[in-house]
Amino acid sequence: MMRISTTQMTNSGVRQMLLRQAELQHTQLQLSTQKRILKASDDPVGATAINALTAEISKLEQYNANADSVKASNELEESVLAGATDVLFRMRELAVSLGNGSYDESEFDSIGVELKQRLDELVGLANSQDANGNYLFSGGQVKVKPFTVDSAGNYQFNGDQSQRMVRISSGVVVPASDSGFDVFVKIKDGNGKFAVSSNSANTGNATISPGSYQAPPDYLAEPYTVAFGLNASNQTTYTVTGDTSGTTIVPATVYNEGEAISFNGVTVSVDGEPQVGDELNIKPSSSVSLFDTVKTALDGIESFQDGGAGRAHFTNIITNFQESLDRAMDNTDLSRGKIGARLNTIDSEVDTNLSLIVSNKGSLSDIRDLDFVEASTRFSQQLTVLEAAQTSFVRVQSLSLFNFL
Amino acid sequence: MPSLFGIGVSGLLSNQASLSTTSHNIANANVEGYSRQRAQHINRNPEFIGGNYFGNGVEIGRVTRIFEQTRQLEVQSSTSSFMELEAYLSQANRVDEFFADSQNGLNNSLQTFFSAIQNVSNDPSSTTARQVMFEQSQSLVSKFDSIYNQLEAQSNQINQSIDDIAQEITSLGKSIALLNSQIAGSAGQAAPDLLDQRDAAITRLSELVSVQTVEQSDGSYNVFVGSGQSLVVGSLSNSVVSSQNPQDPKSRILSLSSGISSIEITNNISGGVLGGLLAANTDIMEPAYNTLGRVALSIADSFNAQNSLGMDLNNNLGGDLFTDINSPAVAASRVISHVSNTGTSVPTVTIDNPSLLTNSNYTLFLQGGNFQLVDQTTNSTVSTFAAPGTLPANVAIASLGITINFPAGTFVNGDSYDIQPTKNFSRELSLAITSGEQIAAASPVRGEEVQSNIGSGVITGISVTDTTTSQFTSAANDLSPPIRIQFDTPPGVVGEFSIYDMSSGSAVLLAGGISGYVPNQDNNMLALAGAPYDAYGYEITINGDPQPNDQFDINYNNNGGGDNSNAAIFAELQSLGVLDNGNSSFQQAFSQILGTVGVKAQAAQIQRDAAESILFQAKERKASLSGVNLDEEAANLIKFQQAYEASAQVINIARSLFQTVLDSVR
Repeated sequence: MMRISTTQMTNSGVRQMLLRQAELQHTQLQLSTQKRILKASDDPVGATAINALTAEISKLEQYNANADSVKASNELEESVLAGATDVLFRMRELAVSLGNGSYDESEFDSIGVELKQRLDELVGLANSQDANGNYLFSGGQVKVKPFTVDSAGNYQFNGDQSQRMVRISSGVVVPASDSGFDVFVKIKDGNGKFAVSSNSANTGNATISPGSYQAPPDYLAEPYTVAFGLNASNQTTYTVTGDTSGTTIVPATVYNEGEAISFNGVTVSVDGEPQVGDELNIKPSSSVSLFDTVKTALDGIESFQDGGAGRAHFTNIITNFQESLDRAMDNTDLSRGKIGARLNTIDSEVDTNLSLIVSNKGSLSDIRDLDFVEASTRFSQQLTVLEAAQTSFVRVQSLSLFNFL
Repeated sequence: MPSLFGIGVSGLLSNQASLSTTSHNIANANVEGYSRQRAQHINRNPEFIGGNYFGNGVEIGRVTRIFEQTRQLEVQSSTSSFMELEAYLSQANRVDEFFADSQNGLNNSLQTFFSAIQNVSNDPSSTTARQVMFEQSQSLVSKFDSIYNQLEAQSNQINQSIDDIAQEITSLGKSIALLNSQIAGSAGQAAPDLLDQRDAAITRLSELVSVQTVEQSDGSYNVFVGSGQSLVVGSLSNSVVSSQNPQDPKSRILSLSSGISSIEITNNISGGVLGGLLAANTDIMEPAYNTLGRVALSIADSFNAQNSLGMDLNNNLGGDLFTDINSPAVAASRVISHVSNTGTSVPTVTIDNPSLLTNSNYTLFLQGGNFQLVDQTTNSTVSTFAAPGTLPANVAIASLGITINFPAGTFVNGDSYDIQPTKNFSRELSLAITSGEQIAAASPVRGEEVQSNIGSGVITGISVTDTTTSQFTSAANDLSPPIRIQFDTPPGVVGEFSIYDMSSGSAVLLAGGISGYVPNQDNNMLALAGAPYDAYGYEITINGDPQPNDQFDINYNNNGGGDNSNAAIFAELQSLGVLDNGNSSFQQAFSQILGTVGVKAQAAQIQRDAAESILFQAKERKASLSGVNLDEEAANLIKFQQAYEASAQVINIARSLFQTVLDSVR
């Protein structure tokens, strides 16, 4: 027979009630916080996972906040460039009109007036600011106005070439801006490989086509001059000389109007009647800002002089202008294409981030959140058990032999 | 024939004694540690009369307690284990709770801090975003400070408890010694109540520390605490003294003092609240301090390094964002010199590589002309090196990522130092900048292709690795010199370039002849240029197919407030493995301690629950034998009352018998 002491009976009754109360309180805390894990020791692995998941979710949410900000800046840039494209279309029409051989000086002048207005409009667009007063196209120097006119009337780019990159997912970084250098300045003039021009002192009316270039090598080695002269039999000839090296590339060759002149991958055709001493220039394309390109055309209009030689020189200027303008439109389209691609990337990354957030939140909920039904059932069971323990304790305690003495 | 009176009276007296013992039991029913007593009834020796033995009544033998030593020992040892786990668990739970608290946890502050960085990176010229980052940095610093303070408050409480417990152990030792002398000195049988008192004192002692007892022939107990340190010998007791650790003023050592001599017993203590607190100190508190400090250290180190590689909103080179991790004061705070040291060269410790730091503290001591560095967690020697011959001297411990710096002075054999590379940094951490404008979000170097370039060469990358070179430091807000990289003639030959000094005119720095440029892939230009250009502290990467005379200009990034190159690298630091040998990010390293504490608390909880039920069973076993059952005592009362009444009747009968005799002769 097991002997039981009175204190022992009380103690074990009390202990049972305390244990049940502790369980009940734990469940009650779980129910009131709706959390399964109240402290790390409840489930250390789960607690660490909760931390990792919470950090991951905040990170993804931050990526989406970044994406929103990048998207806004890219959309702003896109709307500015859309405006620029419209202006460029109009400029292209004006450039075509300038090529009309039947127009005279006054007509060119009125085209020039509109061209100047369009140019100002374009410069205004390139100097756009965002809501915070930061210039869109000045690279890293957001407080510096990117395009200004110097005393000589040339357009200066005052910004730098840096691009702000922003991370929008663990694997993707997208640019939040484009430098004005890339959008408006870094435009190869002429046909993209070389630009043609004529000497303003020419006396003949030779015009040169924009031409084409066949690689290799990828680039023209140097600028070339096509000089005209007469041979012994009084035929007009042309000679091609490399400007830097001074070497003769094409020795004196009889000139036939409209015939292609080809050397070192360059092919151009010359029309009109060049005079002795006339020169045509072919130089490797370099970057000329859109504004300077237009300005060159405006200067050409200003200095337009009617007459065979003057008109030929003007035609050469306009030919090069049209070519350069096409490059500029290509470049703007390229920039807009990049922005479009970025916006697509941003959208798809935001979607991916969102679905990751949803799945991480799901995992988080699985680990952290309470199964409410299970917990409520557990709670009522524990309540019943505690009540039973209390009732039986009181009943047992009231039993005493002394009651009968 | 024995006297009926005599027999009756012996019955009266014996049962009266039993009634009083029973009453004593009832009265003491609820006294902790009380063992029920029994008055032993012994039948008296009979008288031999007329060939027969006649019983001679009853007498009280001894009043004994119902007690079994093994059950008491079981209670003592299970009390020690339970109390040890209970004390350990409550400390673990505290750390567990305030580390895990998601609203106040450090991870939350880190996350907000990194979000603020991202916002600066998104809009680096915004002073609002910078101000927010400044304030978030401030609040991160405060968070480290407040967690450190919480830990420190807990440490102080632990130390206070250790002091109190040492005193209580000493006073319990005294009581036991006193009881010993009373028990040994008592005439005949020792009083059961004294024995109970001594057992209760020993049980209380076993709540504080583990206890072994050895009974002596005179009934006194010798009491040993921990692993055999004698607290009580007979009627003499020693005292346990808690004092400041001479190696580390923030912790305690325990020693056993006899009044004449004193020996340190800290490492011999186990069991009980004291054992639990000491274990919590080494197991929970130290790693918590050190992990926190380690995370703070690597944040300060990474951000200081990165901020110095950038340019702030005022076109100045960035400086430290947080406290310099190796400032003289901080380096000195990592070393605690033992109070008995006599050498004058007190070393300091600088951190070379935070990712190699561990959670350990170290002991450095000089013995036989050699310094030994011992890891206090594993007790293993991590490094041994000869004492430097000339001072000052620096000794790098590469495996730990630290350098020990010995200033001028002397060493003396036997000197020892406590080295805590990480422990206090979370308190030392503070913000070194005073406004958001000092956040170096931009790169200090700007590279630009010149507009007249013909080829397709573009600058694809500018990286800054060191802003302490003369390139950056010689002139404010300028490179010394700004340079131009120019690709060379002759035409048709690509891959050669020159470097020009653009500070005044275009002096040639490097006159061509540098081949190795490969078109259409990334080329690190200054590395190709070789010395001294590769030590400029920055690197320019060019890709594409540059043509002769194509030029790239490299300048100081004046007014580059909209550049976020450096802030973008700040943001990347969040996911970078800068701790634990490159395996953990800040948040991961911090989560680790959370997991570790959680696992320890969980294990302690399980063990504590088991120990609790073992203790309960031990107490049950003891109580089932020694405890008072009131029903039983009630029955005994009735039993002894009835026997008492019966004995009274015997006297009554004897009286009437005697009366009969008297009456018959009247």
